[in-house]
Amino acid sequence: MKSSSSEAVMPSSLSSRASASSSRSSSSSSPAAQTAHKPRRNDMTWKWLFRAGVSILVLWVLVPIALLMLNSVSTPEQITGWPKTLTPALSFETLDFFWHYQGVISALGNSLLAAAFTMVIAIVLGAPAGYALARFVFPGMNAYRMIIILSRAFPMPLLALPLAVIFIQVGIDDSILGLAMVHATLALPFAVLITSSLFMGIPVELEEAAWLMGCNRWQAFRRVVLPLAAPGITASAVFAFVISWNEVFASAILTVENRTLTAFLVQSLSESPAEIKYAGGLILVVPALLFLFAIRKYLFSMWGISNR
Amino acid sequence: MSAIQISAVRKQFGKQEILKSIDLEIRDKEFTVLLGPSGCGKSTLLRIIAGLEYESSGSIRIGEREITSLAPRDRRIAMVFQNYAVFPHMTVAENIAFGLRVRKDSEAHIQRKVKETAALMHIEDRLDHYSGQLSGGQRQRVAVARALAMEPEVLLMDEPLSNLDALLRLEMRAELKTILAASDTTTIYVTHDQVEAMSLADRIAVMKGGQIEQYAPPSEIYHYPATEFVGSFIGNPPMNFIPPDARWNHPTRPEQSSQQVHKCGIRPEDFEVRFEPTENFAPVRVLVSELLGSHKQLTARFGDEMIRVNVPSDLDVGNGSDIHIRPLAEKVRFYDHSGHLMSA
Repeated sequence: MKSSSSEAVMPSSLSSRASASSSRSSSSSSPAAQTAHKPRRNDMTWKWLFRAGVSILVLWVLVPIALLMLNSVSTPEQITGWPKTLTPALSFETLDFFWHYQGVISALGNSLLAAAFTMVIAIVLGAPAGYALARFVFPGMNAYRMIIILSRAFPMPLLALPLAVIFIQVGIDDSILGLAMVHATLALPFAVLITSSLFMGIPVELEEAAWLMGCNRWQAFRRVVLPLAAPGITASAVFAFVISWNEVFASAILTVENRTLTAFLVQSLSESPAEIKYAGGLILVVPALLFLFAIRKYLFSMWGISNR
Repeated sequence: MSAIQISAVRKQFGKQEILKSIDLEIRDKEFTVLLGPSGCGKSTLLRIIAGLEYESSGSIRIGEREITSLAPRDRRIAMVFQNYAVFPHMTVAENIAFGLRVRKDSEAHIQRKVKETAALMHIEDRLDHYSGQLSGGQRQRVAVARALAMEPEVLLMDEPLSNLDALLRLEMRAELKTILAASDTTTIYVTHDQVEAMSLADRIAVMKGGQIEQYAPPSEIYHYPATEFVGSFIGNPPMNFIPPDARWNHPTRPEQSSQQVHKCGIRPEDFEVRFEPTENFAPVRVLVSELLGSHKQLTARFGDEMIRVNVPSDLDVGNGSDIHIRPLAEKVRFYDHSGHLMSA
């Protein structure tokens, strides 16, 4: 099963790399061309090493998720019992129980709300910053870009406690909006970087042509740039959503009554039975995974690898 | 459909002067080409006229209107970009209609205008296509149709043909010439291709280093280059610039001028050639002889200078042979020390 799964992954990962960009595919093909004249055995070794490496990375990510899935549709007896089986009983008892667990629904609601707020704040503030970075040259531009990236390096634990104090003083402690503001600071750097690379990909001449045809700046943006950037902006919004959805530290510290799902799971499930943890884990991981999968090509573009 | 008056337009980026006080006057319905090597400021000048960049000082008038401080959208100018800038999320018809819709023309007028300009540019069967489905040449046609549909007072074109392949470029050039002549639109066209400039322009403004070296009709630019730069930039191969030679004994030498002649400018095709030593002819040694179809191009050593001489293609001149040449007297131009044409 291991070998078949790695075989199945190989071609798709190769093809996605090849289609990701011409520059990348050309750079990856040149070493292949260099090794072509070397002895055949060497060539094969490299190929197998590459395959093994890719397989390990893929399994590293997939095995825990697979276990999560298997266990959350197994019966409690199967989870705690031995020997393990790869064919679960397909019982939805655990998931069903989790769903009716006290506080899950409201925590889920809080998570969705916080993520939605985060998304709105990140895009409303991040997209204009991304546009400015893409279109204008201004003093301190590179420093500004650097600071945006560096802000991600600031450790959350250092920030969380002082923030909690300030939130209490201001009166937005234990509120979803307050939490969303913290999450937005985490999501903003990505929103700025993704949207700026997005706007850079739209030729400035398109806007200039619109200006000359009677549009003011805002009209040109709305009628020409926005339709072209919309898919990417959506992707960057989804990413902000996922960041908030996944965040646990600030959520656990800054909310008490109005816990998000992550904070709720950390707090209430530490002493719950294993099957409930698996179910909770699955509920958390799957949406994030699906969202990231849907917007993956825009995440590549954030690092300047073009996808067109 | 208006005259353009550009006066004392300067452009500075920091300490660097991109444009040094440009004065240019373009008549109504005239086709003017801004020609020059890259970095000479021709595109900057065009973008300043469009309002996409701001001049450091100076003023621009279109007809009676002062447009210097107007936003691009208020200038009644249309522009065709080098990369065409066809909106990829709109069909060809929507692209052509875009400007008309923005200024809220009646839908009937828009439909008529779209049909008319699409037919003019031969893209009437492409109206429902998106730009991704079009070839480079077709995108170019859409860009021109979109500009003409606006019925602008002035049409600006920024190297519109440079992204097309050679054959298509020739075809589009001829077509543009007919269409723009028929449309009676005042046009400013930027290019670095001298052949394009010669074939399209009513007048060419040759630019170098942020200045206009010469502004004149193509034939005057070719036969009377105002500076050595113009002579060597226009014409292929460029004009020969050599010290005056007493043997030729030119009758048109401008003796009345107080300044001394520094260089003579002679086009390669304006030499008489003899094989025997002849009076008033100067000997040169042919280094390379190339047959170019309609003529033969000789690269020859004349004293310390290399010169190019064009001779009929059936003339038998081999590499390393010695010949005697003399420029046609009425075709020699005289240049002073600063490289400017001296009036004969």
